[in-house]
Amino acid sequence: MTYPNTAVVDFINKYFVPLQVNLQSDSNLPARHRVFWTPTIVILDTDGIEYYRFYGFLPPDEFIPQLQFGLARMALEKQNFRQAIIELNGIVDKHPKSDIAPEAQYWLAVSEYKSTHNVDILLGAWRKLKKDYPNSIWAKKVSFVKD
Amino acid sequence: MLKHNKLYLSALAMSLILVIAAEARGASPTITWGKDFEEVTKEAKASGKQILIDFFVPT
Repeated sequence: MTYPNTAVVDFINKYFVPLQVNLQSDSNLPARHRVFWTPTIVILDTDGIEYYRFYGFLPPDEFIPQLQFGLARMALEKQNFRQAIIELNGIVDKHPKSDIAPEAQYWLAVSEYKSTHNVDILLGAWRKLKKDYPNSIWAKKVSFVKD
Repeated sequence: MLKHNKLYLSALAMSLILVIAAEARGASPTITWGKDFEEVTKEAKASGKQILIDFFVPT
């Protein structure tokens, strides 16, 4: 199970204020967030604005990087690229085999470029994406980059 | 007899302490789930942490 896992509990307690909502209750939250299936995990900022969601059961070694990716997407969309780099590096360094890692590497390249405006950094990080995750859809998105 | 009872009580107390200590060591951290969105939002603003909502159905 995911929630009894100590690493999952520690991650949630460190970075989130968690709320559980029964889809069958009379809460208006499922409708407000257009939830039609469970489990649905939704990540919002302190103003209640949604930035990321994912569906279905995941084991801890996929669940934690998904949560961290949610924090990264929030930082990206708020254009806090320094924070995005921290979160995305956390995923590719600590969870390089997770399914979200290739996408994290893609956006890490973008975040580093946005921070530095250095095209060489962008292309270098995308080359790493092609090398480390050649079969991912994210490698296809940067297939135009020459090796 | 009195000495025997004292020894018995001491042993019992020690056993209880060991059991409690073992349980404390084995206690896993838990998630304290909020139940109310407004309360959770207030707590998030106060702590600077983001909000995670788990939509579920009881199994």
